[in-house]
Amino acid sequence: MISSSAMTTVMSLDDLLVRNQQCSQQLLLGRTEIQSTLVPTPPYIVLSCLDIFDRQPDILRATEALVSPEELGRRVREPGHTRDRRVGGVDMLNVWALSSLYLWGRQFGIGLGLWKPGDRLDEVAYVLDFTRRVCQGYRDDGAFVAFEDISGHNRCAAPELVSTFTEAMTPLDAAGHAAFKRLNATLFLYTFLDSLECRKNTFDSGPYPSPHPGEVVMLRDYYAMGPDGYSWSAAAADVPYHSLTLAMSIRDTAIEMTPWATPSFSPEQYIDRVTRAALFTRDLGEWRQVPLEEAAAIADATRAAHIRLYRDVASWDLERKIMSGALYYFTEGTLSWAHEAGVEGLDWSLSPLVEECFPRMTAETVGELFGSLFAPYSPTTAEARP
Amino acid sequence: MTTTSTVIGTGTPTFATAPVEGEIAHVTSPLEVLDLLDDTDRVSSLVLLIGEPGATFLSPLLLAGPRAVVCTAGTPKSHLGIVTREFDIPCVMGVELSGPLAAGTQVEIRFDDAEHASILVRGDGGG
Repeated sequence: MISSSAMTTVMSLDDLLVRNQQCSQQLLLGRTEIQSTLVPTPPYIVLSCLDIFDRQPDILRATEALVSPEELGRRVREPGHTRDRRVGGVDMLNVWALSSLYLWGRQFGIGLGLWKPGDRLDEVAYVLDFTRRVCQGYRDDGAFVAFEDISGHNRCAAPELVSTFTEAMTPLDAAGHAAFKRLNATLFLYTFLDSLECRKNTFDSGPYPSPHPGEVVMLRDYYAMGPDGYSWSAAAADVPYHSLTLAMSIRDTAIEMTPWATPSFSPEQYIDRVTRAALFTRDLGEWRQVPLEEAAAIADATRAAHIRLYRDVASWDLERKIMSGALYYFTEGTLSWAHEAGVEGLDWSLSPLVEECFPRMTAETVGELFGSLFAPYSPTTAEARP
Repeated sequence: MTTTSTVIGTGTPTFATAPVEGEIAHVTSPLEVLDLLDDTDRVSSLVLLIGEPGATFLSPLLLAGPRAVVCTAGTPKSHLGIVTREFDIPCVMGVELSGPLAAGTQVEIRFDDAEHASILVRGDGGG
């Protein structure tokens, strides 16, 4: 593990920045492109990351004044979330984002001439140390997400809770499997649209041991399926649950988790290997099992919400799409932590910096900025702004 | 008239499955997605050909269950690859086409193995 004191020197910071860059590169190369004709993803990522670099240190200090990073990490290990929540669930993707989107913002801002590599080094060290401390509470192995190998797993849920889920799982016959499959896919797809093309509101954890020989258990959360802090989420007013957790036991399949909490399966098509499942919610605070017989009704309501939301988003102009995506990314990446800690008086809007930079988001500039994530990292020993 | 098949494109499947056949439909804008959505019976016979690997653009049509999806960008780990897998919809990512593939062309997709898939047309090309 990397000690806090080791991060106080400029040399150690540079080592950490390189490690983080390598992690980002590996994840980005796995997808080669992040683009959607519906929502222009790359420009909103750039804009939000600028705001994250500019504002996150102060927001995290306000957060730490109420709850320690270690305690925050422990708190967000539990799957699901309650119905009254303004943002989506906080999970390992948020842990990755804490430092990674912040450092992307540093790099993007250097490229745009907003700051220099030697600027704000105390803040960079603070954010990285905050993330490391969150990981100590979040990870069962304490691994520093986005800087160290996470060994292909994320077993964040408490063993007692996993046992509750696995004991409730029932075998799926052909009809049950078809209903499970439709429910999963429909919810999964909706969470991408509600998050404007992020894989933010479906969260996988595991693999956990299964009581059934030759099988492993994966938990899948679907967050933010009802109206919340984002205006467009009103489309989901008729979806009966805001958060669902699906426990599934999968036979003859190896699962490997990335720091984005995205699983790789071997063999890749795992869905037909799910032998049993159980559905839960903690919308109202306490965990409650949801009968799988409700799957069709939930899927129908979610499908209708999906079509409504798609028609709505398709009608937005380009600026609204980009600014909505930037707001979403900034809120989920940074404000979600402060919200989790109960910080009051948060500013839920983007800063003037984002408005100022919006006209510069040409395809060429955005392409160059993403390309800079693959260039040699700007060392912190470079000159700071006067 | 020839009955031979010609490979017009190759790419990486999101998962290996049995061969599928269908009619090519180009989808390039959300308006086209919404137009097709009004004809869901037709969607089930279509192989949707698109150029970007996001999950959201095509999403209403995934709910309608197309025969397959062919994408000229991205990888199986792209958002489109992930969501088509969840729907169990055959999908080939990062497809390189050797020539134009006109709307309405009947194609067959063969999943050679976990890493390779081929798109074939009857005759000598999809013109």
